[in-house]
Amino acid sequence: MNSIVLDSSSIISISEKCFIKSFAGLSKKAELVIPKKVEFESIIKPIGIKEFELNALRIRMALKEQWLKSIQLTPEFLQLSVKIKDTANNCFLVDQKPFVLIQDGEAETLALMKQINASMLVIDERNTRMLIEDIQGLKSYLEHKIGKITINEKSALELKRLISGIKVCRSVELIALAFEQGFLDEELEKSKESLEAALYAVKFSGCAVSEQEIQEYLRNV
Amino acid sequence: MLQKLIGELVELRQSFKKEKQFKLKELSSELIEQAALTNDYFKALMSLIAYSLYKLSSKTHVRKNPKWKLARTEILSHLDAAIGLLEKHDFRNAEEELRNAVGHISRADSEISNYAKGIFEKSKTKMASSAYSFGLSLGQAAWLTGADKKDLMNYIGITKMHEEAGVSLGISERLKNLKGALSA
Repeated sequence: MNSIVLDSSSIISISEKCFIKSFAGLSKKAELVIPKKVEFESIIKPIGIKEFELNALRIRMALKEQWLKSIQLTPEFLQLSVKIKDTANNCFLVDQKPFVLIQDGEAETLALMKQINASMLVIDERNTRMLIEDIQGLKSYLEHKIGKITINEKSALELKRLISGIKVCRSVELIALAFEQGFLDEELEKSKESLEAALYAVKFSGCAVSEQEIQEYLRNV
Repeated sequence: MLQKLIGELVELRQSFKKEKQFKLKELSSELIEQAALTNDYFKALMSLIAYSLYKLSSKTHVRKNPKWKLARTEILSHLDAAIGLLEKHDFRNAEEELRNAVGHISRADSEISNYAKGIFEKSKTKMASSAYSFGLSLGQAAWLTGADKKDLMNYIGITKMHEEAGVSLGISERLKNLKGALSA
């Protein structure tokens, strides 16, 4: 069975909007996986803090029901995650100094993709996704926001090599698929209105998708 | 670099003392940008303090509360102490003094404010969202400011940030790729 890795941003979007039960159906199509670090951030750390407990319990249920699996990086891939982090954080220079973009969590998620040879990464936050898919696009965006920034071509090439072949989607695509396949039928009636509401719900939970994208997709549904 | 940092902390202190709320807000924006670009935890902490003080001191009911007068004195004394320590190159204890200032801000907020969720917590989310807008990953923005990722995601979700960036692949294409990946 193919594997799909979710990072903390996508787990947050999906669970926050009560779509975690869609994992029951999705897990029959692919193994849904999170790194141990994401389990810690999403469940262990927030459980017991009243404000965050409900969401943590939802994600814990998904693990208990085995709709979702949590995997620890092996020493070899933990080393890879450190290399990914260091390389990524040397890709851009501001005033000749490295611009630190990503943390351990993002790097470990990318390393896990390689460890289990996963087919797809579900990531909702924009900047890491652009680092994977479109580093030049990220540079343009950063230039627009902060001014002069240069790419360290050697690091950019090395990063490309380390994370080559990683395909990315977002929680909107996962929800769109779940909707198509009927995995949200218990929560929502099957209508365009429901689909639109579901997509906007994850958008407002922080998924990096624009209104234009959602409307364009719905036009063709 | 150190002189610039001291200058910024002095400016923060003076703006707070003279009740220049918008200057505090402006300062918080400048500091978080610098913190994001240089991965500077100390500046991120300064930005949080500046923003929290801006939010608190902008509220009439806070300014009129006698507990606020007491808190102001304490906060100013910790800021002064931090400045003195920075002048001696003692970053560790200067940070400790800033944390003491944060303690007084949080205490004043919980005693005077009308909301269950403190201003300092909200400031973390706000500053983290600024850091994210400067290109930091969710994790890095959250780490730099101490913000909670879930709060940060929710906050980002209601901004127009994601309308700004260009679209690389749309939903249809990514959905096609996802289906392809599952059937491979």
